[in-house]
Amino acid sequence: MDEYINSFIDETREMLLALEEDLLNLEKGGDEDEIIQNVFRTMHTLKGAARMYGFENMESLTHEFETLYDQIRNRQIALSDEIIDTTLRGKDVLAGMLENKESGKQEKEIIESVERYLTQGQEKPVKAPVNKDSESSSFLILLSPDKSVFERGLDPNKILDELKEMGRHKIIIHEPEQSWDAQKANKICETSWEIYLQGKHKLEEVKDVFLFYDEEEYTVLDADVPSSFSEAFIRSFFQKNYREAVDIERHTLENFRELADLRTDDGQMQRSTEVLVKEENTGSENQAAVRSKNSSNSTINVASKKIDDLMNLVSSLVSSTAELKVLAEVHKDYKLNNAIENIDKITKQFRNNALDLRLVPIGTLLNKFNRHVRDLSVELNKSVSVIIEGQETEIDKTILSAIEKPLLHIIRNSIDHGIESGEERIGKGKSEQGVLKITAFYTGANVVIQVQDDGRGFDLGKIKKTAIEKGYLEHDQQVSEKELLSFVMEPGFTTSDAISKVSGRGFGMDIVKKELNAVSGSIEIETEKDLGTFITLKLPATLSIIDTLMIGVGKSTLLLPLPEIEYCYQETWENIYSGENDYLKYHDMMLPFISLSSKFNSESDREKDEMVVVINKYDKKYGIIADRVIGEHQAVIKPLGELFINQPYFSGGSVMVDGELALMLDTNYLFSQLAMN
Amino acid sequence: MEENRKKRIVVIEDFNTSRQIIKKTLENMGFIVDEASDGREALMYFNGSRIDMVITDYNMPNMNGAELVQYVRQKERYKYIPIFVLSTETSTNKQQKAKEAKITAWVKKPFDIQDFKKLVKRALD
Repeated sequence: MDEYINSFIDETREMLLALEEDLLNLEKGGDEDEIIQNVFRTMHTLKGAARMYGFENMESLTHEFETLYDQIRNRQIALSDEIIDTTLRGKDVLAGMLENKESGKQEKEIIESVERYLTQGQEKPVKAPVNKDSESSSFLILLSPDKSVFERGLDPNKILDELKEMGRHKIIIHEPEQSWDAQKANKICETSWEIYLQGKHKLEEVKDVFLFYDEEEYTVLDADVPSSFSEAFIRSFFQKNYREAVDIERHTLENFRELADLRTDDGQMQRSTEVLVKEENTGSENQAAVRSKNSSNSTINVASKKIDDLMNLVSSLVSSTAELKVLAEVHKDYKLNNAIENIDKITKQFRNNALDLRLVPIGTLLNKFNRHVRDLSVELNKSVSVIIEGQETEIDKTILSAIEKPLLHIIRNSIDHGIESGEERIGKGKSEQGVLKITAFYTGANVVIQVQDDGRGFDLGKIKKTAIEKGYLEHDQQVSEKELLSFVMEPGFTTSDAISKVSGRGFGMDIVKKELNAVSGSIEIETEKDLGTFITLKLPATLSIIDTLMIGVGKSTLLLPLPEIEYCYQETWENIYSGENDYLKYHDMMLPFISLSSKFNSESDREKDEMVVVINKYDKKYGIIADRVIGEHQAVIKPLGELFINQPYFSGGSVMVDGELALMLDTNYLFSQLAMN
Repeated sequence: MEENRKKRIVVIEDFNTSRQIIKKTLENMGFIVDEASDGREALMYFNGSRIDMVITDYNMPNMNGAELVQYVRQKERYKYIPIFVLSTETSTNKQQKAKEAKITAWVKKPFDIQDFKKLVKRALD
């Protein structure tokens, strides 16, 4: 299909040009009916073609316009200058999509406008003083999900949200003693819902919402066709949810009547009511208002000291719970174990919530740089525009503070050394204004920040020259681009002839790297002469408590970060040590490895098998050979004291349940050791 | 803030062509797709990193779909993510069975791509 894609693009481009012409004619007052028909047809054709070639965003945008022009040609909506204008803008966005241009925001605005035109068109019949129009139908929906519904990856709230969208509704929530929020937190669903819905949807469409639910969990009945439901479910539903006997027919009728009252209440176009019924008390209270307030996005400022204290408490709680778990396992007491399991579950949630408290959007920092860039570019007499993306990405406050200086340094470097002066840029055929782009996003458990400039790039020749001068390299030594760039991060390495006022010399790339390593982050540089530089920082999203794998070497217990572990397996002593090279066969690859027992001079037993832990960090794989794999451990990692300051192998330590210290291996350092061999 | 983050789906299917079709479909929908050809190979993905959904074949060598689901659901991090199991089996009450297996849905193979997309959308929206 790929070979046809170019012809699709060409053809679409032509159609868009014709469309533009049509629209401009329409604006000038050409033959309205005929042109509208044309526009409709073009949108329809484009939609079909876009779908075939996988241009999904194009498909949805043309779909919107198709619907709009369909209603315009049927005179349900009057054509306005505004609509023509929106269509023209839409045409531009569609043309952009062909070239894979990012236009998400514009696209959204246009879709919103179109949708507004469409709803305005629809409001007319609603305003008409008709009590009941024949197109609307009424449904009684009962939903009583299985307790374990969350464990199937489902959330009943989504169902309700979708139903609420479908029309006027009254929802009666049957809630047990535990509040819905608590049920959600504990992942046990005990709530049932009665939903009275009036809208323009068909029975099948309403049923579609329950696609992932079992027939024993819900029923949808068309109130206009009363025989369409499973009577048994309804009876058991009402019996379960109302302790007193309920006259189902009357109850249902009353609720539908209330819904009908809502629609004729012209003064207030109320769409919904929600009634919460606690199973224990019969009185019903309207908590809908309270609920919606809870979900609003207000924030409060808390002194970071308070959060730090809370984190320390949570850390202790996590350790103590783990301790309790180990102790209880000895007793094999079913009830005790159950209770502890519950505490463990709550503790974990508590931990996650507490960790969440520490997360702040990266934008709070990145937006600060806007100003820096402006000031710097004025100072250096360069014109630079800044693009910041992904401000909403959240990261631990501690990490955010730790990366402020390194990031600022990188940005200064880019503007000072990377981006050329306006004249030089024009000489190179670039636009006068330089571009600095900062992007933040998540990958797995990490947050990535990329700083990209379109400047002159690193001078690899100069780096090589300096590296030779400083004795890192021999004169005729072959060296890869990556290795050259890694010299930039060596202490005291500078290619700058003069000390610049802006970047200075005090804070070099070596310090950037060190500061990032201190928060378990890493840095990678890519550069292309005269095209620019691309610096990628990878950071963990949270600190403090991490999931680790405990391994044993000799008498000591060591920790490895669990997310970096790809696989563990057993291997015989001979297979590991009798080969000539330090490589293991793993799947189809040769895996370099480090033996901890030889690294730390402990005896390893020839008779026993060794454990191979395969580390996969940023797509680099290597093996670590340990004596034992002990198990998973949620470690509260604390920095090591002065005593350990000069050793590179460990990045922190955690006090174990038995009071012993387990050291956290620095997988970055181990890898660099391997790379050196 | 969730919107800008691409969701990650792990697809496990031993028949390469089907896997590629599913992968392509999901990628066109804007998801990040990681693939594996059997349950055992897929285990490496469940290492604590973020996974938003799992789509797995039922009959596979080494580790079949049921065993994989059992493994995945044991992990706290993946206890509540949607899981689809693909199977050629025709059962009268698939949702009942899904409920028992603690998965989101049984998807009958072969399936219509448009229907499949609808299911994925519904599970992840």
